[in-house]
Amino acid sequence: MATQIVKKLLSIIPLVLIISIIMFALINMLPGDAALALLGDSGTLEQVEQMREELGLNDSMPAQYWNWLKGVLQGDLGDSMFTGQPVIDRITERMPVTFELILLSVVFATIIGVPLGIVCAVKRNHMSDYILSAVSMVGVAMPAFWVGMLLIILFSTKLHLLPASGYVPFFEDPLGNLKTMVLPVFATGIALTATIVRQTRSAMLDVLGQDYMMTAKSKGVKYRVQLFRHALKNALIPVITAISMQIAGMIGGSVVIETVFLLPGMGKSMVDAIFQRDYPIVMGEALVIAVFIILLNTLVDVIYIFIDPRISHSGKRK
Amino acid sequence: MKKKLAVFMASLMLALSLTACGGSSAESSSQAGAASQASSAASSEGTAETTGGIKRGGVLVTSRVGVTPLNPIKYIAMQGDKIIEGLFFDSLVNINENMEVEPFLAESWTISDDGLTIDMKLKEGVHYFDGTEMTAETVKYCWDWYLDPNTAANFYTLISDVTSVDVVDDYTIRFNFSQPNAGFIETLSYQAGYVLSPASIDKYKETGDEEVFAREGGTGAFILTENVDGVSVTAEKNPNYHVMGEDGQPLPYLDGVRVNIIGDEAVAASNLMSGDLDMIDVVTQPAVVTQLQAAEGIDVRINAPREIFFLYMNMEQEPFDDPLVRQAMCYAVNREELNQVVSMGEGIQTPWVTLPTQWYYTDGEIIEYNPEKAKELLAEAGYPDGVDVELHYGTFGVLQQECELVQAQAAEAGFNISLVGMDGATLKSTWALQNPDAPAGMRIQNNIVPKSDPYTQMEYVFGENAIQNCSRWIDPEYQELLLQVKQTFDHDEAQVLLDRMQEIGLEQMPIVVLQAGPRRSALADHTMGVYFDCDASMNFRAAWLNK
Repeated sequence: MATQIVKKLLSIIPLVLIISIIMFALINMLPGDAALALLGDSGTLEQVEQMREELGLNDSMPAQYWNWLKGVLQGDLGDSMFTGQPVIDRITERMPVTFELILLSVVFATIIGVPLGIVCAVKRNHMSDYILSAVSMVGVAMPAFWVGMLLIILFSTKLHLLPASGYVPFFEDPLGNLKTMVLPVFATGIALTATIVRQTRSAMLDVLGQDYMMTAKSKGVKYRVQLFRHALKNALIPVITAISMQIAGMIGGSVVIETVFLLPGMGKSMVDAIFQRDYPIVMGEALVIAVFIILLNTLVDVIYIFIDPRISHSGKRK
Repeated sequence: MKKKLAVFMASLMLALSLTACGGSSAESSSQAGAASQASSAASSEGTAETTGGIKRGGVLVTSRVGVTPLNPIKYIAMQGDKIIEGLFFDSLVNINENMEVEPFLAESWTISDDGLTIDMKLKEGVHYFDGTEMTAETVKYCWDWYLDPNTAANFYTLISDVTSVDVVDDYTIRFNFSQPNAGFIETLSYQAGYVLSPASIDKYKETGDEEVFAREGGTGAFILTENVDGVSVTAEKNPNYHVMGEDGQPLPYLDGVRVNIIGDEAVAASNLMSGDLDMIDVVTQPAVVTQLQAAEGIDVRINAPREIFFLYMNMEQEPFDDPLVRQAMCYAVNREELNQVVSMGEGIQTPWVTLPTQWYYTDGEIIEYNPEKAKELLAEAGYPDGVDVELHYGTFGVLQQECELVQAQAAEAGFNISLVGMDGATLKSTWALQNPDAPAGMRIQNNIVPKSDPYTQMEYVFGENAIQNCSRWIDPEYQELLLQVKQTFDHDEAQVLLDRMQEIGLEQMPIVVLQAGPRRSALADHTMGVYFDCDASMNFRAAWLNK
């Protein structure tokens, strides 16, 4: 298994290279010019040219990419064109916020979603199943921005229970951190919860109909054991897949929640950088996100192996 | 089980509906949110009442619609960026709400008869954050740096007539000019008028630290403590500030200011209503304005400047290379409807890019909506069946709404307008004068007016080198007059020149002026003493919180 994991990790390198080339090309294809953005309202043709030269924007695209890559290989992701802040500092400053948001949202969604999904499956075609399924449908359909605004109106503007915005680092003030994260986590997690409920229900129904469940029942295995040891464990694989795919989407989608709740996360930072044509920030953060998603997928593959020993190390079922 | 579930759901629905119908809370707006924000802001020492009911202490939290570089030589928006920069940097002069120049770091000035030198007497007892005193020597050091083309200050073109700066005595400097510059003093109320400490300049040259001026080199009422780029800027009071308050003690009254960068007005409004913000810098969208006006404890104020909405037309390409088509476009918009819908009836009509409150405003004809006349002009120009054009707009503020209305109005006149929305950076680059591949068609713009002086205001839109000359209108006579305006100190003489410029503009119609909409800010009732100058840049040196 160790060899397999190492192989998987090594395969990340060419993948990241390809992603970085695509990202670089896409960013450079965007209309707009960092030099013009930096010059603000004023600026003459000469100033624009001088700025482009200083920023290396007059080099060919391959040369610009090679310069960037050389820096990355030496551990230097460059500096922000706007603030001069090293990209690595920006990433270490913003990444924890986004990861905390995603982690808490996943925990929240899993804790709520899996039990509700089981209830739906067990109580199939009962009123509770209908209600929970309908609520899940609504949950999936509600845009995070809208949910976020509603939560702010209810809990901040009307009830004054929670802050509408802001972020306090956990290690600075744990309680303050939780207060600022409740609404963003709920807004982010609600769609994921709904997805997990639907996925768990579907997977559980599939497993509950299997022959081995009938066998367990006929052998007199306790209902709870049937449900949790035999059914849930086997039903978790598609649920985990769904969660991992949602996490990848949540990184992209975090910008919405970070914007609504003014969280200093990486999603917002990256979108701001795109609007400012701050290429080093965009490339650095895109690289980190790409590596994270690839690692996440690798981790999920490994988790499959632990959950279902029938899956061989090559990722295929025996 | 079913009954329990039904009871639970009913209770939940009831609770939610009661909450939603609860109306405005009478509680203080200083709630959990504000507290949590403040915890990472400058420390609050509590409030202690002083003279005239003014309370010292507290951290004011405001919003700013966009990112501001903290390095003043790299400003993006000449006027809007002053909201944050003004925390850290004082300018040599100020322009007040009545558009009059007032002394500030410079106490007085004398302009030579030939306009080629200006002697400026500096205020004594002003210290930079790093403790050094502001003197003529330090100001000269700063200006030598500004005037070095390698410094690449964004305001370089505005000060490039200055050939050198001399020290006359400890507190008097002399600006020497290659040619007279009548708007120079006014220009000093913007970024070029900020004075930075020599040590901070040296440090910047050495390290490239963009925040060093706001931390160590300014003379403003507040000192930068934290900048989370694109998210927030936090500042604490400068204990050695040189301006005294009503109580005879140094300003500022506040312990600190925190500026949250909030691009979405609806989000900013929610934060103001929840008490997480004490004010919003700019509110434009009618729905948000209405929401805030209806909210308890919030004042939506209209500031002195206005945003003049106008359409640039690319005069280098068809169809707007034809003056008849440009003229037709002028008849194809219903300005009153734009005012009522987008500016909520608070806009005014102006024939050109000036406001009636400016000394060089000249009245002129406001072209009425006349689609038939527009059709005739289009037919005369060779477009009897109408013409297809693109209208580019930035996807921020109310520009989309304005463009949709223009699209509908102009359709009656034979203009089949396709709307093309894009982000600010893309829009600016696409339409920059320097871009030889700029598209045909139109671009909408909303300029904050007034700018510091007539030259700057006109050059911004029509300068032969101006990035924002999106119509690509470079008329030799106009450019010549523009240069003369720059060199003319006498207002009456300048007025004659500006009148002629307006005539040329209205003859050739490089732009279609739409309406001059209001520029609004929203403040919680407890937010006091915030000063708005003529361009709606606000400063907080005498602001305080009545809570």
